[in-house]
Amino acid sequence: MELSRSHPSRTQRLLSLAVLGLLALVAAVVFWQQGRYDPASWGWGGAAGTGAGLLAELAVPGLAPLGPGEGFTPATLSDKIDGKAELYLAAGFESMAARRYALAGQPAQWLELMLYRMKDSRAAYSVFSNQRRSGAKDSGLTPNAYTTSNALYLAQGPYYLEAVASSPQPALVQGLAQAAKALLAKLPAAPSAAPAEAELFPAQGMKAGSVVLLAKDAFGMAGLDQVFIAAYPQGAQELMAFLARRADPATAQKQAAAYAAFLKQNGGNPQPAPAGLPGAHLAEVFGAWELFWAQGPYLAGVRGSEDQAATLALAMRLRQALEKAQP
Amino acid sequence: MSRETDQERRRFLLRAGKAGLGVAAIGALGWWAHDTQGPSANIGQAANVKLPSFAVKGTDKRLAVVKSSHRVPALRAGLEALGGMGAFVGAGHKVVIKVNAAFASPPALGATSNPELVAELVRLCRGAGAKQVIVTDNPINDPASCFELSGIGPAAREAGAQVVLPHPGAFAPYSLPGGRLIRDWPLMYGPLAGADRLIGLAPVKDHHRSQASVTMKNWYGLLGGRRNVFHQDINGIISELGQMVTPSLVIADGVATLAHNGPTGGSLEDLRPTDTLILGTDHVAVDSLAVGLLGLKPAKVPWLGLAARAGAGTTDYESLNPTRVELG
Repeated sequence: MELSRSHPSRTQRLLSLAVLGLLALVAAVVFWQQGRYDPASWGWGGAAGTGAGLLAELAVPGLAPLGPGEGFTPATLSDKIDGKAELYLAAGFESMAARRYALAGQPAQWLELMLYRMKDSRAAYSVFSNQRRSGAKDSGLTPNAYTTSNALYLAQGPYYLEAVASSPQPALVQGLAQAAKALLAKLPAAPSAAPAEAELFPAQGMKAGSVVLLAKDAFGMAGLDQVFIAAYPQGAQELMAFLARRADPATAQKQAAAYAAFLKQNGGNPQPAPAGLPGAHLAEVFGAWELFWAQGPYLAGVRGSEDQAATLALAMRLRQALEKAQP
Repeated sequence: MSRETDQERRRFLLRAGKAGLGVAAIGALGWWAHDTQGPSANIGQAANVKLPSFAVKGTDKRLAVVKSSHRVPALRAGLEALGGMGAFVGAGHKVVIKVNAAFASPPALGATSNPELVAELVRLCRGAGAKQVIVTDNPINDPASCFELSGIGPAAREAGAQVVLPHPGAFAPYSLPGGRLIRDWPLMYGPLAGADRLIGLAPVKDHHRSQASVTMKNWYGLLGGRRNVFHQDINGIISELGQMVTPSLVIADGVATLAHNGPTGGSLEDLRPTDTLILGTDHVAVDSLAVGLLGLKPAKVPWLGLAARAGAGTTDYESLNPTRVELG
């Protein structure tokens, strides 16, 4: 007994050596890897397989590729779009592939396709909606697609496409649509409609195409994420309605209280809730009104107007719309 | 029993001692291998370079605002209001024009310096007697593509300038005296070495991180390395850039302002005609005036206040009595 306690068996020795060997192997791999550290390859999988392949294989009649494509990761996105990278990163950016094409035989007439792969369709909708150009025309390619005089933008599943022509020349603009169609045919089938919350805002009086998904830190409050906003012009001013679905009613209540505290900390002046909206929070913030409440799992509200009556009227309509959506 | 217990204790102490030594050895190895400095931006040169002031004696506090939808006549009129190009550039001078060629995007999108304006500025410098005019930037995209596709490269060359693209030999380590961010950082010093004048020429743009990008943000293109780390303190870095450079002249092009989705834009609809060219020797004052084209008040743009408090210029541009010119 004493012997077996003081001297390990052959099996124990072998096991110990195996464990030590494994540790030595791990140390060697760590040492080798840190010598060739590439921040771009940590956590995101690099540019390969991120859409670069889709553009590399893309053939569009009448367009010839201008050089090879480029690929960008979260670590390198700002190399392509500078400070705007933060918008994509906050929403859930995974990778981007870009490639330029020129009209056949006219290298000075070119367009660029930038295909962003986001973490999911909500993230793609967020960057799409945040940059939607006012007065743009629906392209008809997908429910979330529009054209401007020299560009085409669309969201499809987790992808967001920016197709930008160097000039509004008709042949180039036509090339944008053809390229987008060819690319859509290659993208995996995915729902392309807006997230469900975007449909909950009262339609009457809403500015067309004004629904935007703020992915992170909405209205400057850390942690107020995934908030939808919509604009309601009224005379010279514009009211903003907002709503955000939370995990459960208790979480929505908690966030409403946290937002009230945030406004107070930042110069807001809390007021008694209006009679029509018991339990709501009302605050005057530097001359504008903020009225918000928790309704089931939703945090909802209206902000940005100096007219308290108009704020309350829109709030009542938003409340009714949410009641209809979740009777 | 007592002897057995003693042996057990001895064995335990022996093993515990060995284990402790092992842990200490590994800890010591880790401590030895630990790099407390982190990766350095130093590019191997022994000493930091110094960036001289490029201000021209007797031209401080000059500011002009020209209202026009045409850039070339606006530039001429603006310079005239400041005393003419001869007040800034003289015979035999080496002049560096720092443009914004950050993106390989077409000139029509307004994300980069306008090529017509670049060309006219080069011609005016040459006309004032400059021996050498260099047009340069360190773009974040592929430099050659940026200069060619933005139209800046061909326009500058045609007007008689030398276009200098960034290359490893052009950078030298630089530390801003008293700086918090720009310390031992690669500066594109090559084109600036021996220069008599430095002129900044930038479009007025919306910027997702800093609200606005004008002439001070344009100096960002003199830095090298992984400068995107500075985006985490965008107000601090723009303020330091304003302290780093004392230019001879800066020009903010707000003839068409990139009012939305900056700094890249993408759609012609992101531009708004604002018909304004601002020229001056105080880049804080010029930028303070320019942010108004984006609907911003200088007091609400933190980097302007930081730069002013650091002594890089004034946000109270009216105190400089700007000359206002209407070209119609």
